[in-house]
Amino acid sequence: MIIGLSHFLVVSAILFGLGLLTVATRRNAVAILMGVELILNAAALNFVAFSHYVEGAVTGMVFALFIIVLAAAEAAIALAIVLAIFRHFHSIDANDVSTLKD
Amino acid sequence: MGWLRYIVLLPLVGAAINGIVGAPLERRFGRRVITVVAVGVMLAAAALAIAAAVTLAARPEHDRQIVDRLFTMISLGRVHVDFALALDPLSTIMILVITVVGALIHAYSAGYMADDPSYWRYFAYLNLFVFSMLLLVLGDSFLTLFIGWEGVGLCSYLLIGFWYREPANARAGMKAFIVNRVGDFGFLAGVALLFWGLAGSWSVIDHRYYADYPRLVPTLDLRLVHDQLAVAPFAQAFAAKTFLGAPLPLVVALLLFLGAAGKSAQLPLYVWLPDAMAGPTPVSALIHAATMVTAGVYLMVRLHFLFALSPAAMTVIATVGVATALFGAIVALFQYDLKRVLAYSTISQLGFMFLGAATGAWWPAMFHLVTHACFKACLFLGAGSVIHGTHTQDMREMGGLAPLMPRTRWSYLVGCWAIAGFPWAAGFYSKDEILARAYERSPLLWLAGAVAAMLTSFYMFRSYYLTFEGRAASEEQRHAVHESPRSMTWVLLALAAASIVVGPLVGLPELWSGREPLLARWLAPVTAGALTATPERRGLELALMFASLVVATVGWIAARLLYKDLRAREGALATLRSRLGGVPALVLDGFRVDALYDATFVRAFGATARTAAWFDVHVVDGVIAALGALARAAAFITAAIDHYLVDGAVNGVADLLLGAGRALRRVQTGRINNYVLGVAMGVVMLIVLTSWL
Repeated sequence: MIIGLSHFLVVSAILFGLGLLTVATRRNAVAILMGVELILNAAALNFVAFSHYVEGAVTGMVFALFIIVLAAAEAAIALAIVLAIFRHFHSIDANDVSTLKD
Repeated sequence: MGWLRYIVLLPLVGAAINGIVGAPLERRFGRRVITVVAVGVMLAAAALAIAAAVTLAARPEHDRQIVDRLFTMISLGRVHVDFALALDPLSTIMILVITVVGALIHAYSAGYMADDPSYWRYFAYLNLFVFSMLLLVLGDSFLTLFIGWEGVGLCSYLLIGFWYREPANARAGMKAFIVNRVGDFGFLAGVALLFWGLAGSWSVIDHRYYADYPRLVPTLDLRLVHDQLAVAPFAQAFAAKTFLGAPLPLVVALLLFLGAAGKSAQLPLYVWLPDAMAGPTPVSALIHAATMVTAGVYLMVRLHFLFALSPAAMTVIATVGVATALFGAIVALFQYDLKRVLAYSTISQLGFMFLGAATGAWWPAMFHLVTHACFKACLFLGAGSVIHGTHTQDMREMGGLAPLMPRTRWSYLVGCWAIAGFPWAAGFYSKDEILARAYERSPLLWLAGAVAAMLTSFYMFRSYYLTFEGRAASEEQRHAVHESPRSMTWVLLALAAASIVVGPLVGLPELWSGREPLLARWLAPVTAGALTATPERRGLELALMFASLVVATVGWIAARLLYKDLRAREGALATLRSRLGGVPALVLDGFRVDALYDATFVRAFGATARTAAWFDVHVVDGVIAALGALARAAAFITAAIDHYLVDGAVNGVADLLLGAGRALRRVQTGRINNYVLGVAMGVVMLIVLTSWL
């Protein structure tokens, strides 16, 4: 069995769907962040896959690298925010942080 | 000649000082200050007037005119009306009478009004009156004259109603004012028609005469009107015009005479003068005998050239004049109120003046005006002195005052002497002159005048005998009555002296002295051309003079027989009265003319006023109320529209947005999971949509 583009895309879609599911269902802020990581990785996988099938192109790989760096930065900032939220609310449940709503 | 204005302005200054700060001045410095101001300005004005007369007399005859222009009142196209004062021989006589007699009466008033609570108000009015009167006689245009004309009317009203707490006095003031308004209407209409007539005839002859007579412009200037009417073709064009079918000069002359009749209390409009006696007696002397009431005569002499254009009007005026003279004399016969006798006598004497003016005897009319001012002021002030002493005006409550008030008595007697027309006293010359001219016009006029003169002699001596001779009405009165203070009596004596001196001084007949009388010569520049030369009929003149003397003597003897000692003649008088039946009562009421006017004009106007008031209350007010209700209804509707439609729309939009907001806020759960779900579903929808389309 030859592993083609569609296999990559299916894996990536599953990864994206799991990530989206995680973000949509989890109330723990850290878990949500983890879902976001999954979504980002799905995107990065897509870029790399498409890049592989394009003759002599590195754009997709560069994008993948940027996404990884971005994800790291995002995680750092988001975790800092989560820390700050915990300090303030003594909870990291996303539904508890809804004081702006009312 | 800039100083002419000060003659007029001085009394105005006096009136302003006393009128504006009179009350505080009196409180602070006492009444003396008020007196000094009021009498001071009068003396100054009199001195200036005499100086003006001397200045004028020193000039050559054709140049006797001083004009003082203050400012321009109207400047409209070719029409220019200046506020200007002009002094000519005619107005000189008037200002001399006004300021000299006025100053004397002011001085007298200081004594007469000494105890009145409104001392300063009285003198403010009196000075204001003198100002208006001087403006009237010095005014160079109809407009200036009219300002004075109305001013004296106002002051007359204010002074008649001076003691306004008595409703009758206030009513008398209003009556004088309203009756004068009728005359003023005539005056204004006459002036307007004259202006129209002159300007109109000017436009007719414009092209032919303008080059020759550049002064032919529409004008209100008295001297200019005179000059224009002196241009023969112009005067003919004016005389040829008609108004409502009547010749314009006749209409203008009669309307102006209506004005004069109102001011000078002539026959249809005399009714206010007897009631005007409600005012203080010095006021009656100054305004209602010496000056204001002669304004009509002055107007006629001033406009003699205009009246001369219409012989028909002159005939009417002569008839009215002589009828007034007779009427006034007859009514005066039966009066018991001393002041009313004098009031009717004034009406009668003014009738003589109009008779003179209307027969072309311009200077005798002015002569009688001057002499009348002297002797009537003397008589009125004498009456005032009597009233001051006895506190009554009813002659039946007087009598036997001669030894108690000697100075008053002698001056009053001289006044009677003068008005009755005995030789050497003023009235003799002036009345004779008028009657002689009337005889030339028509013996009938002379006869009526002579009868009036006889009655004059009778009623004046009747008033004298009733007041001063016979026995006193009561013992208490005999002790209570005293002679008036010197400040009053010296004025009486001065005026009595004037009553004697003025006649021979200014009007000694040609028959006696061999030369034209001083006053005739003095007035010649004014009345030049209009003066009818006296025919050389010495015999006739002497006969008429003798007839006058007889007439005066008859009146005097009759009065003496009947009234010398009233209480001794009670019986004879009673039989006489019973023989006359209801006549005396009728005449006492002035032939019930007042009642007639009340029944006709006053009632008609009252009814009109009531109808108008009813109309006002029911119709006009109804219409206004209906309009108000309509407006309220409209307002109610717009309010409803505003409330339900406009506010509804605004609130509806707001409610809609509020409701939408409420409904939509449910979407904002604040749960991040929901949002993410929303985003994901949105993306799915987009993908589905894009793949379908």
